[in-house]
Amino acid sequence: MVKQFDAFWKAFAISAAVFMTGIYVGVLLDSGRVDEVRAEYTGMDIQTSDARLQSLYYQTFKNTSNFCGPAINENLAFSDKVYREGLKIDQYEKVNKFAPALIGEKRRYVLLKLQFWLNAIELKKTCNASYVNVVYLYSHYNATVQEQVQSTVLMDLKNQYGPEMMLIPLPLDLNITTIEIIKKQYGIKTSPTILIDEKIKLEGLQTKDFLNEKILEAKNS
Amino acid sequence: MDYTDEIFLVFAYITLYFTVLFMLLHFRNRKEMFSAPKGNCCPPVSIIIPAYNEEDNIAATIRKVKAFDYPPGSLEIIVIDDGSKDRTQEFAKREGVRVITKENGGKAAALNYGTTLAGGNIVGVVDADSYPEPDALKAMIPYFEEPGVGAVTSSVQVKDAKNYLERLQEMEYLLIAWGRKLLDYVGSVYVTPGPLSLYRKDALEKIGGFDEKILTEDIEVAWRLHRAKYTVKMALGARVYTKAPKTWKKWWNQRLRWDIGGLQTIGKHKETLFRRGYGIFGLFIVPFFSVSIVLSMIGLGLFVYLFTTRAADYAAFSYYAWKAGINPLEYYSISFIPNVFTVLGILGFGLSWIYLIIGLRTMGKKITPQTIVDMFMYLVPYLFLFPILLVHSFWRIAAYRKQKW
Repeated sequence: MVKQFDAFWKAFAISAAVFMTGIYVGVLLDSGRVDEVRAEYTGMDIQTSDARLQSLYYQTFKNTSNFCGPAINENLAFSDKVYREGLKIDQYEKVNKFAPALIGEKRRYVLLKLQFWLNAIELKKTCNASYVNVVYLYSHYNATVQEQVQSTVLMDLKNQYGPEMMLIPLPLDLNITTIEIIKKQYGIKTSPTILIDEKIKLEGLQTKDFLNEKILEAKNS
Repeated sequence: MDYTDEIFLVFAYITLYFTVLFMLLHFRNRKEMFSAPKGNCCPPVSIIIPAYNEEDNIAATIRKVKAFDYPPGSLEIIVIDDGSKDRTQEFAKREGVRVITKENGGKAAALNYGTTLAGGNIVGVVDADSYPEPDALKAMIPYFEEPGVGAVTSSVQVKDAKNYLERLQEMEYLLIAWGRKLLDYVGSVYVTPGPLSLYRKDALEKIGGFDEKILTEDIEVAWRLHRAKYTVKMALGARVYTKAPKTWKKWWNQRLRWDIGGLQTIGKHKETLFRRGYGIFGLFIVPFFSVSIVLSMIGLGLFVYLFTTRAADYAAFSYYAWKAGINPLEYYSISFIPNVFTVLGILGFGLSWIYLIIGLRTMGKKITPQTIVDMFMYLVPYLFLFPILLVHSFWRIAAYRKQKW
């Protein structure tokens, strides 16, 4: 019987084709996620610019009677959306294997969050709003389990307080100048760190009860 | 991608390659897999039955060998009683065959002794707990018409599979027999199992018989035949039924012996790995055998690594969650987002099922709902035991423990 040695290279060619198809489908999935994140970003970028213009418009004309309610609601909806997108990027970063790193998108989202935070401070002053700003500073590159738990605790509190709490998570190590300024201003040297209403600084893992107490304190002050 | 991702990709590709190779060989040859070459009947054959403490089986085995559809004048049966402490010798003698008793020295030594006594040009080996079909010998002999054939082996199947472990082994043996036939098409049959194999006597003498120091003399002898440029053939239509271990403990010990013997054999022939001078033996048989072991270990390593890191993550999360005053069970998130590994994983698992179904159907097994359940049990928990066995084997070898035959 003739030995069928050609089967070795034929199997190599077929398995390489099947394998590359699998890789290609994987790349498509990765790219689809990157495109999704980029498209969401474009939408939100427009929304942020619109919100900034609204603030500027009402500050210029000093007419806050019709402005505050819709602006606060819009800011809140925007906050939730940016937060959800941030979580989505984190998840996609973990599963994507072939697409380019999402670090660029991540930095853009951080800039949006910074703008949102400043907007939230401004709205609070202009409209005398009662919500509490909670800024959560964490490490992107060296994320710890404590940060994972802290993030979960803050999410839980956010669900509990709804529109009464603005949660703004910001990574400390993405080389963003504004965040470097914030770090210097508040003397932040460790993560996780939480800023409540730009006044209270809490370093290290905080319990849910303690944070709840501090948020209530800030809300009633 | 980190290094575990890269290891996974290499692992996935090699596994895929072998699966595709086997499928390709199957689809090319599926119509003539069970047919044997035409040849003259019937050269003198000496069947050696090595036996150690086999009083429960020896008589039935001899009767089955005597029942071979083969001219009695051309069939010699020699039982080598390897110093049994029970009534093996007495029961064998009652069957009217030649029984030689020697001091206990192990199976390979018994076979070597039997070969020196054999009068036939073809020497057959039948384990004392194995029962060949009457037409098996006639299905194997014609392969020796080709001068370069040094040995011919058969389709070993499980006798009377009753409990679940035996049923899993029944499935495994069918797949092994089918796979061995596929390897035959690339001249790579790497074992001549003890339940029923035939050897050209002068080939056996030329290579120096069975190695008495190796636990799996049936693998090692086939490797030396390949090195001596003989080919080893697989007669899929020649069936022999053997008793498979009924308990997990016995199964574990048997497989430990196979693994240690396999590792000993690799160690003995390691210099042939990827050497062109040894032909298919150095370029495929030894690498295939070695890669199977490496892949098995990598698979286990990856599983253990991923499992322990996830478990450690969860333990740490639970500890800090408890410290932060939240219930970890409520918050630990396991998200599923498909990526390239999901695609390759599904592809690999799907191909494994197709491979199993094709193999079992080729071997005449009906695919029932129970077979599907058995296949799942075979693919997931049963096959998972093999890398663990390998670890145990490595440990045994490292600790120089002697494995009993």
